[in-house]
Amino acid sequence: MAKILVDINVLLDDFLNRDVVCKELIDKLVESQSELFITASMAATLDYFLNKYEADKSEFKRKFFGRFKIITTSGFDALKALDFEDGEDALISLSFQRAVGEGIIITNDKGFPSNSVKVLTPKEALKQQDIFNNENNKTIPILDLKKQYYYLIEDIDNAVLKNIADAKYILGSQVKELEDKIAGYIGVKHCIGMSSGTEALVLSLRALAIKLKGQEYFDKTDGIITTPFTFTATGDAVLRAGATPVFVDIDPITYNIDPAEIRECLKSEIQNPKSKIRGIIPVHLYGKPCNMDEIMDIAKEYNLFVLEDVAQAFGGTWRDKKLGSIGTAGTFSFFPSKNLGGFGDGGMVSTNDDELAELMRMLLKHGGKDKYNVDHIGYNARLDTLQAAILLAKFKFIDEFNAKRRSIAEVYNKELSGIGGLVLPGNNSTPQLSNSLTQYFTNVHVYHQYTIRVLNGKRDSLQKHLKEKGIDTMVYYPVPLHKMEVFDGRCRVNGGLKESEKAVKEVLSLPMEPLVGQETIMKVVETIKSHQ
Amino acid sequence: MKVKAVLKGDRLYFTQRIVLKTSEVEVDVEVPDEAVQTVEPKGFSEELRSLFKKTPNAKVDWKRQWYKHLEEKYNG
Repeated sequence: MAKILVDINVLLDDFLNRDVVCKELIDKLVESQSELFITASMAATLDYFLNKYEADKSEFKRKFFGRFKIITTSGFDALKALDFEDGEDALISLSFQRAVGEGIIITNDKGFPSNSVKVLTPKEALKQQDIFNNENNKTIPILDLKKQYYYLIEDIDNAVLKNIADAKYILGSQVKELEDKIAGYIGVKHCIGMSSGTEALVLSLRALAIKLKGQEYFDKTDGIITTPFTFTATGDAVLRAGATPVFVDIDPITYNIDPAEIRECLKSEIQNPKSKIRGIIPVHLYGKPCNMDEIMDIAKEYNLFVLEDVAQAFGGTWRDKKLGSIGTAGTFSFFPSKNLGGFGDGGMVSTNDDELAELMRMLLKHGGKDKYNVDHIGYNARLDTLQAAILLAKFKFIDEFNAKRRSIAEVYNKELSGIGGLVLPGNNSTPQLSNSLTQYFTNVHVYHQYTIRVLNGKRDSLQKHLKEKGIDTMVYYPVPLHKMEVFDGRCRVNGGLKESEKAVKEVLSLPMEPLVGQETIMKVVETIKSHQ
Repeated sequence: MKVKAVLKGDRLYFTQRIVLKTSEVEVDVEVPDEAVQTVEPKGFSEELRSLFKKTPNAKVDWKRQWYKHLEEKYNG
C-alpha cells in the first residue's frame, strides 16, 4: 500500500477553500488502503487555522486522526533540515522519509524539497491510480508489522521516547504497570515479566521443581506430558528444567493435545516404576483453547501441575475464563508476531500461586532476593522496560486486534467453505453448555494463525501456487518435536503420534494481518480457488 | 429442524448440542423503529468541512498567511 503525506495546504484547500480537486483527492485517499500521514511539525500550522476558522477541535481530531497518522519529528531531523533553504518543508520531508522510507508527498507547493521522496500535486496524484488501488500489487505477507506500527505510531513513539528519557532501563515502573494490567485482564494474582516466552516456560518449570521437589531441577525420571506439534521451545523448556518430555498425540480437528491420549499415556506410565509424570503442558495452538475441563480433571485425578502455554493465544478464553488463569500457571510470549507482540523478545508468566511467583521473581534476576544473597541457580531473564513500555501502548488495542482477527477468520471460513480437499479450522467461538442451563460460557479462538489442512498431498503445491501469486504462507510446523535431533533419546513417546505426523504434512497457515482490508483476504481466497 | 435457544442479553444460547453447517444463521426478529436510520452518510471531506464555524471569503494562500502570523507573533 502507498504511504502518503498530505501537505497542510492541500488539506486546507479541501476543508476551507472548498477546492474540488483536493476534495476528490482526499476522499479517494481516505477510501483507499493507503497509509496517510502528516508530521508532528505540521501540527502548529494546523492548530492555527483550526483556531482561526473556529473548528470543533476535539471532533476534528477524532475524525481526522482516525485516518491520518502523525509521524514524530526528531531533533536529528531538525538538525538536517537547517541545511535546507526552506527548513520547515525540509523537516516534513526528512521526518516522513525517515519513518516510511519510500513514500509520496502531495502538495501544491512547487518548491517543496523532495529529498528523494516523490512529490506530486493533487492533480498529478489523482492521475496515479496505483495510489488508490486497494489490491496489493506486491506481496501479501502473513503479517505486516509496519502496518501495525503505523496504526499505533503516536502511542508507540511516545512510549519509546518517554522511556529513553526516563533512563530507567532495567525493571522500570512500566514493567510493574504491565504486569498489573495483564494480571487484571487475565484474572490472576501475579504476572511476572520475562525476557521471552521460552524463558517464561523454563523459569515456570524451574520454580515448580523447587516447590514440588525441593531441588533446583527435575530429574530425568520426571515426565512432563506435552504435544509434539508445537514450537520447539515447549519441549526444549522441559529438557532445560531437567525433566523428560512425554509426547502424546493431538486431536486432528483442533490440533491441540488430545485429552484422551493424555489419559492413555497416564494409564501406561503409571505402570512404569522408573518414571513419574509430574505435569502437563497444554499448548493453545494457533490461538485455539485446549479442552481445559478434561485436562484439569485429569490433572486433579493424577495430582499433576498444568502449565498452560498461551504463547499463541493471548486474550483467548475457555468457558469465559482467560487462558493462563486456569492451570497452575500460564506462560506468554511477546515475540513481535504474537497477538500481543513487542519490538523484540518478551514474555510473561501468570499464576495465582504466591510461592511460585516469588520463586520466579528470584530466578529471573540471578536466583536471589537481591544481588548478593543468591539462593538458586538463576538467569538473566528480565523483561526490558522499553519492551514493557511498548507493550503497554499496544495492550490497549488487544481486544480490537483480536476481534479483527476473528472477522478475517469468518471471511475465510465463509469463502473457503465447500472447497474440496481443504479442512478449515472451524468456528470462532464455541458456545459451551454448562451442566446447569442457567450459565453459558464461550470459548474464544484468537486466531494467532488461520491454519487450513490441505489433503491429498497437495499442501506444497498450493503453497507454491500462492507464493507465485505473491501470497506468503507458513507451515507451522513442518517437523514434530519427537523427530528433532535434540529430543532423540531425551523424550518418551506415547502411541504412534500418527495425527501429529500427518498434520505436519498437511497444515498451511494463511495471511492473518488484523489490519488488512477484505479485498486483500478475497485475493487470497480467489488464489486458493484458482489452484488446480 | 427446529431447536430451542435462550436469549440472554444480546446472545442466543442453544439448549442442546448442535452442529452448525454454516457460520451464519437467520433468526426471525422484530427490529424497533428507532433502530433503523436512513441518514445519508457524509464523505470524509464534507464531515470535516462541517466542523468549521467560519470559512474564508476568498481563496487563501495558506503558507503566506502562516508566515504573516509568525511574523506578527514574533515581531510584535
